Amino acid sequence: MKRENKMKSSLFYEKHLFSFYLKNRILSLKFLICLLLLMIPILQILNDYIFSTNIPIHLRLNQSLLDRILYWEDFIASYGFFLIFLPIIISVDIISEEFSNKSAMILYSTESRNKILFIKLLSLMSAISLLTIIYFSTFLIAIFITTNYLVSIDIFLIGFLFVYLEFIFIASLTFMISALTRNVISSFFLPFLYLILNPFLEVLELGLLSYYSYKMKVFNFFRYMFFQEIIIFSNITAICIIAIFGLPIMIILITFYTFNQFDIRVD
Amino acid sequence: MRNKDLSNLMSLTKEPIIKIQGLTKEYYNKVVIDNVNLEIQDSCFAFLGPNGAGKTTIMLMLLGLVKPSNGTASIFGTDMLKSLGKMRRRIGFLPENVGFYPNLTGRKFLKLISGLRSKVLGGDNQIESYLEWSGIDRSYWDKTIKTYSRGMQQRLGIAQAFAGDPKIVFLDEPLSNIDPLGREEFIQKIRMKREEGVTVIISSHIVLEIEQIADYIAFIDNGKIKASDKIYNLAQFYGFDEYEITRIDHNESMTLKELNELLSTEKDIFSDVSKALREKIIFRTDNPEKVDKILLNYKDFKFTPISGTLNKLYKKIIKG
Repeated sequence: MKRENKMKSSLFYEKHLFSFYLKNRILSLKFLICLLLLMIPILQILNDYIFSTNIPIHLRLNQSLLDRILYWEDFIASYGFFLIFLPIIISVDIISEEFSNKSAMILYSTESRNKILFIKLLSLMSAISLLTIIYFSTFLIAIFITTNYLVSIDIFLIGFLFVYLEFIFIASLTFMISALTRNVISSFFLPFLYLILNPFLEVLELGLLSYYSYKMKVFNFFRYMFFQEIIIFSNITAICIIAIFGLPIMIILITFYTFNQFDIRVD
Repeated sequence: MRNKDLSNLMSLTKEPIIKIQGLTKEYYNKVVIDNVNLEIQDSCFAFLGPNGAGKTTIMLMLLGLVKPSNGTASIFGTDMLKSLGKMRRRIGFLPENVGFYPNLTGRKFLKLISGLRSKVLGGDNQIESYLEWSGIDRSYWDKTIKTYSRGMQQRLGIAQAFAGDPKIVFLDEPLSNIDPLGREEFIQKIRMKREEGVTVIISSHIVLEIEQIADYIAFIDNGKIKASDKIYNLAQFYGFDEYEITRIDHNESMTLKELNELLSTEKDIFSDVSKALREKIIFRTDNPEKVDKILLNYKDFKFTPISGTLNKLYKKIIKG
């Protein structure tokens, strides 16, 4: 009992700051804009497959088409590119905000930088998770209501993981740039520029720097596995899987290390 | 320039709250803080010096916001660069050019900050007492901070530094942007916080403010401590012997006249005839330490070198 009380009081700071940042993320205009943008692909898919024709749904759609075309090719692959900007919008000011409004010195005098960064990161990841869950559950519900079909669970989960990991990568990249530059404008434009240039990096033989090239290799591996029942698991696939899981972790570790080297001074 | 080492001169032998050893800061090979050694006891301690002297940098190093190039700074025996939150949360801080989350109200901002410093979330009454203390008009308490004037923001900044009951409060140029009447008000409020046991560290280049608040002073110029000690010790050291006792509170029934008579009965205090005026006693002494010790029992009175002495000291020490 005694230990429990101690635990409760010792985590008060963390809970207090976490709830402040989470509210800041979720109850903001940015989050609302992201929610509205998320609805665009869902409405587009519904329009393309359901509302634009009078042919009964059971004649046009079956489980296989739903999984392969509607979900995997359209919802995950095509519209994924459109959504990559959402994590930037959500995380653009996560660290630079206090440097812009000059409240950084008060905040960072209350706790160790690592703890504050960790709480910020946790609130960011929570907001990203919430956004992804809303996106996928809205899609799932909308499709079920209009077609009476549900996406196969294994395909659904892998697709979810794909989009979620990409969001996490982009959010951690923006988080890092926000921490390093402590400037909102560069925190928006640098990740934006990277994502725009991403598909071209492979053409310029800079594939190692391209998240897109890692993603596509893993994406194609699962596409063959699910829809053509061919498993082509090479060393490159393994490296790419490690990369899409490991890159956000690496970026976050670099951010923590580098942020600790700065002087926090806002004049 | 004669240097005085605070650790040798501090008359009270209490354990220092803040210890600074060999603190040095370089920016691009330019030394901005040069081997500073200080011990600060439970008091109101002021860093006084011209703009760019290094006052803020020392404070930021003490708070762990700026990394020293060399040396250590500890508060309550803990290195502030390594210290975790428990220690930091006993410290309040008002930066120069204080900033806020512009879309929060004054009430919400104080609730956030007091929650970061204490283990329980301040109730509405507590938050309102901070707001009341700040002197911000009640009609602004629930308005967003972006609608506040610069003076109101400064008041909120001072209030947040004391919110959550910190043990030490760092105030960097606290009274800038505040009107003259407001300055008087905050000088009184800071004194009261000091009486409640809060150690206050102030940085300023305005001599008049410091003269009214501080017990100890460190004169700083070009990143070096030029002199530091109790104000009256410095005054004595530099050849000033005129002092004054002013009433700062009315908790005791003793009048200035009675106090003057009491001091007159003591040997070795007045080296000349003292003048007991309506608001103050003015006298010369070669034994300020004795006067200070006697006045420890009379908290309503403040003993300082005569008004204007600090300005003369500043010119003598800083300008040479």
